[in-house]
Amino acid sequence: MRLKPTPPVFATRIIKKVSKISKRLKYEVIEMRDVDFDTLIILGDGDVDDVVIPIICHHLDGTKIVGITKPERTRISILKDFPIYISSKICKIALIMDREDDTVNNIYEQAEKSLQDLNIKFELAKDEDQMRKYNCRFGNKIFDFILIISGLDEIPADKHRIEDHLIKAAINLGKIEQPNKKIDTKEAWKALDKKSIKDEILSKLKESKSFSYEIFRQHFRGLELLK
Amino acid sequence: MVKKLKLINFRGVKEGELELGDLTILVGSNNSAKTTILEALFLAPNPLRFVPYILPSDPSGKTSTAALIVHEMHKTLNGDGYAFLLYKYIAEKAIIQWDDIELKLIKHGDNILLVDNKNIFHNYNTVYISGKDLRFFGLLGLSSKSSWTNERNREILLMPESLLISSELIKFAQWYIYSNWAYIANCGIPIEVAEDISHFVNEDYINITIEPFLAGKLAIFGLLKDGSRIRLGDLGAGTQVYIISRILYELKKPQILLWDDVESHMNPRMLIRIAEWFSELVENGVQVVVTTHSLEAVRILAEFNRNATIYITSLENGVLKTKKLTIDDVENLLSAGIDIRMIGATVL
Repeated sequence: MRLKPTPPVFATRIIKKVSKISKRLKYEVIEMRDVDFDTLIILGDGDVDDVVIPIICHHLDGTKIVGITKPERTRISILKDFPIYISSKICKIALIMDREDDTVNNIYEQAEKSLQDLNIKFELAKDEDQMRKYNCRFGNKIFDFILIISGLDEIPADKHRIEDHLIKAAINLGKIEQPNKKIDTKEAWKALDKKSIKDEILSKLKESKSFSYEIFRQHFRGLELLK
Repeated sequence: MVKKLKLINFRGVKEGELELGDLTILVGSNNSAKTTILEALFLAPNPLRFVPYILPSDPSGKTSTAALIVHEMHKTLNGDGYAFLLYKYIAEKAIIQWDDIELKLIKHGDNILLVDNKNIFHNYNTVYISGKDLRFFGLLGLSSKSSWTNERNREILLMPESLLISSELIKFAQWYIYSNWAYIANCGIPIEVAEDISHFVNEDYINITIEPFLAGKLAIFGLLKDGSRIRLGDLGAGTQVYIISRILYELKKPQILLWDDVESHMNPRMLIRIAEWFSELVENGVQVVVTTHSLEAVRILAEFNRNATIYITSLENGVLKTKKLTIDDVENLLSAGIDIRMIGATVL
């Protein structure tokens, strides 16, 4: 899967981050040409999503080009922009957001309420761990909405984020110990920078699909539906 | 006013059409045919008419034709000729069509024949092609920059006069202004333009003059209220472009103003003045078509011209794709994380 970032500042950042991991990956994953796409990945929040998601897409083989963006709105409020997206040719939307201190069910409820408020008719087509797919209809437009919620219960934290997954990767690679009390995974991930092992973890995630799948299961399961 | 433009096998556009408004803003990535559209509109009135540019490289020092200016913009090393006007250099025929008028560029031997469907030129020549006579009013060299038409034909226009502005053409315009200075000065144009620019640069210009600089060589100057002079070439690039554009406009009063990369060298203050000027032009019945890569430019131009037609353009295997947007559409897309410059027109 190839990613076409749509805002230029975001594109610059994503290319810079991805190229840090591997120059080769940069060219394989990021698409800068003027190309058509009907699928959009929306990053709902977070700082590291724009480096992690390209790694996952790198493992999702194929030549499909998918737009990727990070709008001004964040989290569930992004659904308010859905009429704008679906007025275009976009017919598959994946929203990736952190669980934070919310419950997964509460996030699903908020998403469904937002869809209702927008007069978007929907039915649940897939319900997996922290990933749901909805078949939606807005007027005549039919589209798929995939909601992927980042965060892992197995990592003790008050707020669950995509960094939970990276901390899990660090634990599995023996870079840090399994925490025995609640941690701030964002800070813990930041702290790894000092030891320069961040790149090593990201490189391992890039090199091994199975390792990457083990760490980002809901992301793989959800983004696979975009193919 | 040109309402609809259609291109077939013209430059990089195999086929495409778009409707034009009073002010049309073309936005798109590189190689999305924006400049091609302007060039088509610049050539359409008559490729062999004289336009207010002089090529310093031309030993004759004569005013250039529209075709020669477009040729100069695309000249690569010493490669001459107008084959670049034909799609992929090999198309047999290119067509620029607007409303019910058509300008055809037909390859014939080592020439491109200029053929129209209005029969309004003073003089036509005829060639026999594919069993029928073809009347043409001029020709362009396929592999040389030579051209030919009856001199009287140069005055005939198939479309209202258009003027192409681009920062790369400014130097050619300076030579034209220099060569026609007496007329320009006597029309009072320099004083009018000098007053205008004083409103948005931190200097009080009262006139524009041509006077000797060092070693007696002539230069264009901005004359300040205190009597001092600043050479045009020493002013900011954006100010130069604006001054030259205003002089050319006041001189030629085209009914269609075309501006390529309008944001080039322009700070927001200058862009605001240009937007204001465009709005005055539109009010006076002048049609304006501009290209830009800048969303800031789109915002400013559209703010002064709420009815502006904004197009995102892209090329797909030579086919021109366009999508018409309002400024609100552009803003909504942007806040939703979709920058129209980063996507093809077909996505929308």
